[in-house]
Amino acid sequence: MIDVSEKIKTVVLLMFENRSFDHMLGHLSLENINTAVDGLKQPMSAYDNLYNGSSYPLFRVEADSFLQSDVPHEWQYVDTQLAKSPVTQRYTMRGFIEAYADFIKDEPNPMADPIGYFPSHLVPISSFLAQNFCTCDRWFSALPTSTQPNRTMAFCGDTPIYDTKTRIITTPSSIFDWMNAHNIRWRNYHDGFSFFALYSNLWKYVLGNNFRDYENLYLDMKAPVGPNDPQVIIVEPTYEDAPHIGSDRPNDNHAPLAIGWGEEFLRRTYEAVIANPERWGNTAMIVYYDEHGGFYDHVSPPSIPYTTTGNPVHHFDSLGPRIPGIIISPFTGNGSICHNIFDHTSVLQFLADVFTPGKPYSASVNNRKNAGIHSLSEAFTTEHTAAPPLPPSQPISVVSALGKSIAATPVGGMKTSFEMAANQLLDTHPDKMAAKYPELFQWRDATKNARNQ
Amino acid sequence: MIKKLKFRIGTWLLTFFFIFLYSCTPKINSFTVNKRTISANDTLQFNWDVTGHPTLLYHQRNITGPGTPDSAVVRYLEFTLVAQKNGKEAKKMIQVVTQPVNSTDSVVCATGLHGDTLIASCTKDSIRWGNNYRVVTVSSGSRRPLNVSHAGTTTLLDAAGTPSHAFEGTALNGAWRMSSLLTAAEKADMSTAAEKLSLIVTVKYETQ
Repeated sequence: MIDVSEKIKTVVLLMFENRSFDHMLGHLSLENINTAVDGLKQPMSAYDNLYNGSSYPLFRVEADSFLQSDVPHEWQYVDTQLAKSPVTQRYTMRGFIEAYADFIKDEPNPMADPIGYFPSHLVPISSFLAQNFCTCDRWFSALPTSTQPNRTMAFCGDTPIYDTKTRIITTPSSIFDWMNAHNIRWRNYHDGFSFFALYSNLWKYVLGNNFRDYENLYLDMKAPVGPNDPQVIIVEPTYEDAPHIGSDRPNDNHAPLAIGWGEEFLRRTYEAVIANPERWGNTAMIVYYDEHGGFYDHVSPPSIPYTTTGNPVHHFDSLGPRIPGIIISPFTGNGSICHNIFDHTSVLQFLADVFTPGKPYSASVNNRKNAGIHSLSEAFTTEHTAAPPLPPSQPISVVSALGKSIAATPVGGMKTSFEMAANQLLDTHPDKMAAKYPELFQWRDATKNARNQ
Repeated sequence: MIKKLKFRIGTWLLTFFFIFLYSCTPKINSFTVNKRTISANDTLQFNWDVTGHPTLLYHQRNITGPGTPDSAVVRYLEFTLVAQKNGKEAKKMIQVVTQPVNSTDSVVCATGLHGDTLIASCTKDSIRWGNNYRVVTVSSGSRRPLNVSHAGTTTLLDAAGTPSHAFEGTALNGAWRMSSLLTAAEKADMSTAAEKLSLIVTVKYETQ
């Protein structure tokens, strides 16, 4: 293990939405690309889900297209998906079809969306990065529930909430507060409306100079290394649930999106990260997902409990299902695998290892460390001086895409929360919003007109 | 009184507004088929209720792979209903599996524990299987003796998987119940106990 506080000068965090490990990277072992990865293996019947007396075998996705609908991932559904056996007390991971049937209120198709997995050629950039850097095959979502609590855990180290619904979230502290308190220079690059707009106490950052449009990332990363460069960079895709206008196209990989646009976003971000060889020489880029999104994964999450900090409290008995985690750096092995147990607070542990060595990120994150959750620092075991590999240049195609209509009112907690945050920010901070998110003014007028037609 | 009236007017306006919005966009209110598994010369009946202009698309795909019965090619018929209105569309797809007249299926249920006995109960649903599949033989798919109840009959299946005709002629769909004593090894270490029990069922398609 190398001393990350000495070697790492720039950390880039890119969190996508809602895909499981087996769904995205299970092909690594199945296609014999890297058989040491705990992905999918023969016999595939070992992964059959059970529903109404029938087996539902996993299937290979043949083309990248929009899914039928979103896939369930709220905590009640995750509980069904984990399918704890009353006999062995083990999470059997056989309930994904049952949860899906409950969600769609219909008989699921034999090849239902939650049990599809991608072959390598449909996720060429994720597969390329996993093959060339470090794949984490024991990275679990922090909680067996949905987006808002998991992202709050990821960027605050604690969460007062346990589900996702229409709300503006308030948290006592965040990663931005922590970085400011420790004089860590940071920047956020957002390819659309930032997720952090959902936190009212973060609006001062969202509307500040440290939040920049994603289109600036490449040139900023390519520029000569300077003493005032950001040490932590958070990159945000365009969210499926956030307001959109015009050619703005979601690429956060949230179902029912096709995966191709997220792969293209990943390629562009990696290209930016390796653009300056000097900066790359001390960089760690972390690619991870907020939660599994309702897609199948075969590994039972460890029984590490957590009680939310809000009122009412909610108790979780385990971590959530695995998510794809890739650590990209000159200090991670070429095609290496890290089997250590990680969750999203492993990133916070890592940041503390790099920037405040010897001083834990927070008491809560330290408690999780003591409960068995490791720091990402443990994946940094080697040093490569060769130039970083260039990403595949093949075109990424999406078979079909239904246009989204701005005339439709939002459905679901996340979409409604994003719209609520956008409208409140437009009302309370019009000048700053005009500078930061000018497209949202057009979005508001256009949706208003469309919905009144 | 005035406040109440205002509230009612507001509620009505809001209701009309949502009804108006609802009527502007295509929507698939329901799309159902009478069975999801068919055999040769079978007929499917679809019903749908949509807002907009409906079009039913048909696509067939052949899948070979593990988990499929007999590891043979399985034909999936995909029926996609598209509703179009005002330049927008909504769609929903139903997959139907085609099987030969004589085929093999399984009944697989998660286990619970009652004393020192594993119990597994589940119901094969008629939506997926229709009412045309009749049981020919049943054997244990769990490499252990199973006490099986279905359609008012109970029988004991041996661990070797010897086919039994005890349920011949009964419908594949409906409730199945399996039970099996814990083995000595399972009793010693419950983490090794079976989390599911399964039956291998040969079925024959019969036209009603």
